Amino acid sequence: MSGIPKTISLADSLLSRRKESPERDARFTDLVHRRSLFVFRVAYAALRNKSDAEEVVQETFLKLYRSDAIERMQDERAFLARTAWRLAIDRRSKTVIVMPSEDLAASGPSPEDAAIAEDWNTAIHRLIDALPDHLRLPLALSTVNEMTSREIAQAMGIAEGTVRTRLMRARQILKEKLETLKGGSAP
Amino acid sequence: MNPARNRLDQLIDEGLASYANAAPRWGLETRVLRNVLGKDSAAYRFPRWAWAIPALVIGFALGIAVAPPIRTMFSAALNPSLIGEWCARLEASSLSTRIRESELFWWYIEGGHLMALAVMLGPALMLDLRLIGVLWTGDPVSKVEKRFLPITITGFGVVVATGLLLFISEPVKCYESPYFRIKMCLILIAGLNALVFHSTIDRRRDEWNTTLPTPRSARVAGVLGLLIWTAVIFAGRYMAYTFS
Repeated sequence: MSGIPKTISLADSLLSRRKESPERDARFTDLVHRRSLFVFRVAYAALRNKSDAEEVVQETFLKLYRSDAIERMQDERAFLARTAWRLAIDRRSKTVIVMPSEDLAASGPSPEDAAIAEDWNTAIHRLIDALPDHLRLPLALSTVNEMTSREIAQAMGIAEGTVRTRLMRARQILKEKLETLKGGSAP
Repeated sequence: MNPARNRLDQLIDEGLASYANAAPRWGLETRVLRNVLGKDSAAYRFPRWAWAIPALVIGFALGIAVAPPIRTMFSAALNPSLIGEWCARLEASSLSTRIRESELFWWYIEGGHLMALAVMLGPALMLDLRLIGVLWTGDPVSKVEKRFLPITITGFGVVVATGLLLFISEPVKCYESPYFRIKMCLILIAGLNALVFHSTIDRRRDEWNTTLPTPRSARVAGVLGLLIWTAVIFAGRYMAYTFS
């Protein structure tokens, strides 16, 4: 859990109201409507847990509203992706050891079992989840609303070339593992 | 190109496409706005003017009952020589006589008519209130419509069937009642209201399915639906209690 509370307190509310104006609120409301699903998916890519991802959406927009970023951000998609990503990674680092993502709970089938059951999507999801973080995270982000390598690089704070290399490496590993699985069971 | 390799790429692309394709619980935007702005956004606030709706409904219904010019207008609206004669012939028919003289059957029809009215109008009013933006605002219009419209349509079918039997049992009295004529006109207007709504703004529902406030024309359709169906009920009751 990060330092930003889930719900706004009276003091927070008063602080917010100082900057409140109908135009600003209207712009903010419009932004929330347009981008909340995108922010949710960025957070979900990192956390793989819907409740946590929703919390990150709340925190991202709260942070945006409290700062003046809404007036000065150049690329709202990149800004929101970066903020959501950092909050998600922050949350993940604090929760993953204790509770390693409920959606990934060990109750699901292993990649081999899923492949045998001919559910290749589940098998691939399991294989992605099994990738090391430095490969899995850019790959997961690349699946969100067609994020480009540049946007992923901005969100993760790494070089664009590094993102491309990691994406290629991740796909390579997935192919190798899938080949092994397919050798054991034809779809 | 190696076909097996292509198949693997295709499998990976499909798996990746569904990997992050998760959706939050319904109403995430509302919850964010509520928490961040520290209040409901203007779009989600309960509209104060909504309180005027019951006042309008009651006023309209009372207007039908007490305004003599309206009754006179509907009393003189139809040519008695044509429809009146047809109603007299219908009343003399064996079907009409059998329904009228079979007490048990008549009570079942009357009871069924009222029951079906409740089944039809309850969900219809819920849908109208969603269109206006008063109730069920946490759900998309499509979801509310999917939930309520089939019940309304089923109820409407039973209402029409039982209503027809009731009319056949006493066609002359119905014909002579100004409230019956008002009721029929109102049902026609309600049908037109639904037709206009479904053939215009409802065709573009994807654009406003989850937004608030709903478009003006959808709200107008909702308010009209509420007013007309309430007036239909009142007209029906006035008709029943003023049969001579």
